[in-house]
Amino acid sequence: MKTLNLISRGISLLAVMYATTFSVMAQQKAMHLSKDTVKRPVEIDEVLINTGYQRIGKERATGAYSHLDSAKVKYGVGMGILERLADQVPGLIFNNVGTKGINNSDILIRGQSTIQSRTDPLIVIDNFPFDGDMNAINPEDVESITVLRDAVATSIWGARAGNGVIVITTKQGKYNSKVRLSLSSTYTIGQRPDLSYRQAIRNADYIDLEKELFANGVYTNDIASAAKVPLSEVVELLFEKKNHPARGGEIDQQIEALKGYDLRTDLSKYAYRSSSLRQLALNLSGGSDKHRYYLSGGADKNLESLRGNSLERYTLRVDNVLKMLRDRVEINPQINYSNSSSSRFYLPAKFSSLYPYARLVDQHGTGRGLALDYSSRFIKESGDLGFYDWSYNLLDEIERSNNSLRNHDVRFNLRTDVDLSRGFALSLNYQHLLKFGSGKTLNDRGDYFTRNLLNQYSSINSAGVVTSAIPTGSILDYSNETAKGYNFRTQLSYAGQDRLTGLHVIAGYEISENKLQSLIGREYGYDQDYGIFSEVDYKTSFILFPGTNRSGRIPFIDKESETVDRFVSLYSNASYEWWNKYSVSSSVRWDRSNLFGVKTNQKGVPLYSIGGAWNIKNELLKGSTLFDVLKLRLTYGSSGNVNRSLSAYTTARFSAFIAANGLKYADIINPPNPQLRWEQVIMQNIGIDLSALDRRLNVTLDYYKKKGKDIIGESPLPPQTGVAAFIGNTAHTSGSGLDVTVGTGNTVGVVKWTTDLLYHFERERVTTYLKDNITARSYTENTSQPAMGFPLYAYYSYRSAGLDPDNGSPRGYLNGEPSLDYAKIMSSTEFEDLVYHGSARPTQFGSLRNSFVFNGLTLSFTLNFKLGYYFRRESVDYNGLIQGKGGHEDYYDRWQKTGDELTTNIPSVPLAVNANRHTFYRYSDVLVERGDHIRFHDAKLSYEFDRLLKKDWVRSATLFVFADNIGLLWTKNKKDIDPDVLPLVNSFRSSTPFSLSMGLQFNL
Amino acid sequence: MKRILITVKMLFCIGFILILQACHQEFLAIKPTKSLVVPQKLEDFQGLLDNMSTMNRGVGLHIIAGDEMFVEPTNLLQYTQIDRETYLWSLPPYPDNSSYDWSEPYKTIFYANVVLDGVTKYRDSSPQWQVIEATAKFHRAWALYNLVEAFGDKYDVTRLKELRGIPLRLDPDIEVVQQRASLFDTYRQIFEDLDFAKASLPDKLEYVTRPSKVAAFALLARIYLAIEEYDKALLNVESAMAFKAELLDYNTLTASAPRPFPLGELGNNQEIIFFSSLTTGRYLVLNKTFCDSLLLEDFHPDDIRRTCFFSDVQKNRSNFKGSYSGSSISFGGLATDELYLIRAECLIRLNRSSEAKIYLDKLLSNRWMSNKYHPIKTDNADELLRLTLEERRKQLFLRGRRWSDLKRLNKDPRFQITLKKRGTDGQLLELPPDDNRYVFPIPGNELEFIN
Repeated sequence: MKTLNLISRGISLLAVMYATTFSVMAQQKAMHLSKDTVKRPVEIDEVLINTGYQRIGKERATGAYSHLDSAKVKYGVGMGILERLADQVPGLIFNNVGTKGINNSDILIRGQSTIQSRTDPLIVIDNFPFDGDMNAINPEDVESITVLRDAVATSIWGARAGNGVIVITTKQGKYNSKVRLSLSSTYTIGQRPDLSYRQAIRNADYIDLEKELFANGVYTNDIASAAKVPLSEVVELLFEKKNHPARGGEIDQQIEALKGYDLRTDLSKYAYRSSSLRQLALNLSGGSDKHRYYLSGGADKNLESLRGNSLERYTLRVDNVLKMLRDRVEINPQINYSNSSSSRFYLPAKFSSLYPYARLVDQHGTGRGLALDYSSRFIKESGDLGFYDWSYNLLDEIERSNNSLRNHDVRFNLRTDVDLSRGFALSLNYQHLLKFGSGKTLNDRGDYFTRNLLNQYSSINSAGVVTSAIPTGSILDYSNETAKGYNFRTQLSYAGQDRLTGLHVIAGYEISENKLQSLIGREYGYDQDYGIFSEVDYKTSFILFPGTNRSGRIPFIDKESETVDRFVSLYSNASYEWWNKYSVSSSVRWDRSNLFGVKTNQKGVPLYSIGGAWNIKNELLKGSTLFDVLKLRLTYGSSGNVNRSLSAYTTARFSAFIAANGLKYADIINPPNPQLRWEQVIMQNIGIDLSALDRRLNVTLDYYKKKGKDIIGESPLPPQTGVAAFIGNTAHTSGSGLDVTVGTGNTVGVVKWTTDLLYHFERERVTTYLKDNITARSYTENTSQPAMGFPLYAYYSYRSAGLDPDNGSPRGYLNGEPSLDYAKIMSSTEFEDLVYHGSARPTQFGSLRNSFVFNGLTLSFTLNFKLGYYFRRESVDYNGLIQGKGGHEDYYDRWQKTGDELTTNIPSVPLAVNANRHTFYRYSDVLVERGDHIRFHDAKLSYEFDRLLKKDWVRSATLFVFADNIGLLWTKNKKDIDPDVLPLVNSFRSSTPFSLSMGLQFNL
Repeated sequence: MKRILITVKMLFCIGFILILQACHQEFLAIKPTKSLVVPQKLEDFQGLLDNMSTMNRGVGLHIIAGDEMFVEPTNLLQYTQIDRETYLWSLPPYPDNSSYDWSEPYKTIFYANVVLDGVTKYRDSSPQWQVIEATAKFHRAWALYNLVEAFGDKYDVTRLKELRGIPLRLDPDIEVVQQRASLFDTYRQIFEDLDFAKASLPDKLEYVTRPSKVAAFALLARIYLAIEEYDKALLNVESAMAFKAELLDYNTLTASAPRPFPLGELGNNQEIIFFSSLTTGRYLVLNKTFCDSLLLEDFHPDDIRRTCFFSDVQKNRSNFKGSYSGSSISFGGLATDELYLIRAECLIRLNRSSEAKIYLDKLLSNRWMSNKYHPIKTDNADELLRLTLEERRKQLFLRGRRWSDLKRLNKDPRFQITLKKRGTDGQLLELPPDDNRYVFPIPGNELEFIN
């Protein structure tokens, strides 16, 4: 019955589609227009936009598309294709606040509509959605990119297109063209990170402070702690001095000597290097009248700035297009292969809490062990007892680091187009994806990881012998990942065009599956010479060393996972243009998936869009010489976003680990939610395309309004349900914004000067969010905590009441009165009492690029800007300071005596560790700054040699120099903090590294 | 003609699409993630019932509010706000309007209801389904009783239908909100579930984390004692002890060890009938929570429990180490020692004192050092009752029984007491015998939905 219902819906949908097609066709005939549809000669400069389903002329497009031609794709450098979109598409930003995408993609197009689901746009490569590793795509193989921004553009992609769509089209050969060989090579060198970007307390002052704190007994507990917490060298020396007063003089000298060292200098010198990237690409293309081809190969090698991190990639592409059966059938098989291997090394997290004058090398320049997890006294004691050395030697660890992740990606496409005559065509598209990834991390028996783990599981017997519950040997971690996917699409299209009207209809059916399997595991006691493993006792809980009260089982990390996404979709798109003045278009798509559950699949709510365009120039300004193009576009429609972490059914998950009583057990991870459905983004767009003054002024304006409907959010449930919160389609969001593109040809003649300006403005709000009882604390500490009527990402702070004139402690408000009771302030502050600063994400951004062309010499430079947002700056953390982690330079401006509170808001040094005092200060309003800034992003100088190289076999050669991340030009905050600088590793910050590339390309 | 050709092509395409449509139902029915289980099989439901951290736990609010442990005023600020306010009997004690003691038992009930819902949907001929159903009903009754004991009105047999119990959830549907049922209906539901459980659960204990027939009888005995239906309590305790009456001889333990009892959930302590822990947060973990020093003075030097249960930090400052969980977790499950005490008390209350002595002697002789214990001489019922109640306090120390006993015994003028504590400023706080604070208020986040 349900199937029948489904079928009847499908039929009616198709029937409506074809009825429309036929009636329009009939109308055309009734108008006595030419019976044979004549192909309109393609204008030379006509831009064809690839939506992934069809190519449409820009003239008849009603939606908001941004097209990047091959020159724009080639503007930037680097191994990633998506990075090439930066500063080239209005409304597209690389965001660093709270985006959640696959591949860690942080791209946002026209802001964000969702709260918990994916935020990244759908990426389409060669007409099919691509969920694989973006690293597998060599930018040298990309011909053009189209970014679909509004509903008419995206709704054809249905339930996964709510965040916008990026359509990547790869290079192909051309019919009737000569054999062309192109070779390009690029070398990029990046500045070695300078970790002193973040200003800190001078080490000499810090050491003096430590002495003072030591005298006050601040470290007494830590020195005696059972957990053997690591302490700074100075504190250890002071303790030594206390125990051996006779050695006082000698120890004081040692302490003085430590004032000359700086951990950040050492890290920059020994852990980092200048990054380098070498890229080599070769391609061969050509074609006869029945066959065209494109072959390419690429090799890239990237040595990242942190030693031990590298990525190598080889790509290969073979693309053939054949015409057959009297040119009525075109077959296009293509194979893309990519092989990448990478190595990773991470600085241990503990480095961020290391004292600031720690030395990585000794006086001979060889690596030096550091007390990272335990105190140096304990490391020595345990070493004497027979434990493995518990100190961490960074240089040694980088040297020993032995891991690799190798990926093989294969993408096979087969497209068959059949011309059914009379404007009808049938297209069959098939894609097969395969990915094999394998990772291996060998923690050698001498590695810190292995020594640390073995030591923790060790015990000493009565005879004084140390034995570990983990067998001696290396520890091998491995992972295997297999991804398999296929898509199959049948599409029927009709294209009828004559001098005055045009009708384009496509309708199709698509089925896809993506399966991802992964397996990770660990082997203990591994002997790589003989390939032998040892078995371990995973069941017993061992007492962990040091101490007597901690126990744990040997870490068991083996895990298998498998996910399958399946989609079945029906779609159609139709557009009709008449009199070169008007065009209308519409699309509809019906998605069903194994992710949505039966109810949603049965309901079959289609996603749809309608749009219209009016060519004002052809209507009203026919004779005008001022305007070349003036076109108004209007669209409305919906697209979706999928959240695969939820299920419509009551679902349970068995624990990977068996309980102590030997039973396997399950948790309910998802209460039943039969109403679960995809999120919907409903968007309206009004756009104007303007071209004037002999196309020397080109303006595109797009204003949009969007609504996020059925957004996944939390809502409260009575605790009696036994479920903490309901996660379902209960939230709503809204947004609006403006995309502006302005291109001008400022001069013509010998020197051509062009300017491209991109500007985007947006406003986003959470309009419905049902979860209440959210604490003030979670708003202040979490920029992504949704609040109704506020932006999705925002800064909120405790209201500061200045510093206490008596002791310099930060004050907040408790019942309207200044107070120092931080726990009470934080627990009693309501959302309404918080200071709301504004969006944590830029609400305005864009770029400005100027290019000068003179006799084959091109100079371009790009500025970009981000405006209208806030960030929370760092300040001194006295808890960290007391615990030996160094401190922020704000320390120098701290409150020291009564009266200072009038000139500073940086608190005094507290008498002891006080977590609440720091938390309050850190999240109070005094530390929030405006993020607005303008950056000189890049400059490019290139020269085309075609005039110089008159040799027959060289058609052209191009040489270029590209400079990236040149510097910050202006910041709104008075402290000149670059809000885009994220911690490089842990809490070390470096300004965004400058890099310089040089490239050469030969076309034969 | 050409029109017909087009129509034919069109029909061909539509037909092709329809063929593909037919196989969708199956194609789209696949699970998106392999490790996800939509519970349908016996093992799936057993897996849910074996989730110890959800199914084997009880309410611990009254441990904190009770008089078994004390905290010095100067240390009180080191405790979480919820623990401190509960300890000092402030009402309501929930700083953020929510309480795990309320929500966690309902989570147990949700799991039980998911299982019971599944049993009706997927049951086949296997007899194991009956056991699954009985297990789920036992867990539901266990959670309901824990809730009503803490949050339900004080038991008064004459006004059961007017007194308020707790919301009775018998369905996993999260969209339904239940109002508070009367005490009468609440207890009726608990007994209904347990009557089913005692008939269908297996006699033999496989795992102490799973309920058996004995557990159902023992829980019934515990409940009937609390509501002072001594005859029924006695009947159930007799049935339970017919299956299991073993006692652990404390002489076999290393009493001075940091944790003298074996890990409770592993079944190595032969007294444990059903393992369950109590939610006591950080209250007991902080070693500044000390045991009632007056009670400790009452232990005879030959009583092993003094060294087995307590470790002395300094004079009058002792920590509790004798949990039947064998770890720092509080044990709130069912064990045979409680059965002996219930049996003795019921017999005394039913004027069968001489029989009662047998069970007291049996229990205590396993608690005292070998050959040091002298059987009880007195036949005075009142004296025997006092003795039994005192042994109840000693043996069931921190087992979650004290609060219920206080509520029950405060009705009897002979045993009424006023609890006294010192607040953060050292001020004396009192909890009189008939105080309403013996009933914990329902947390605010629940009251938003119910009256």
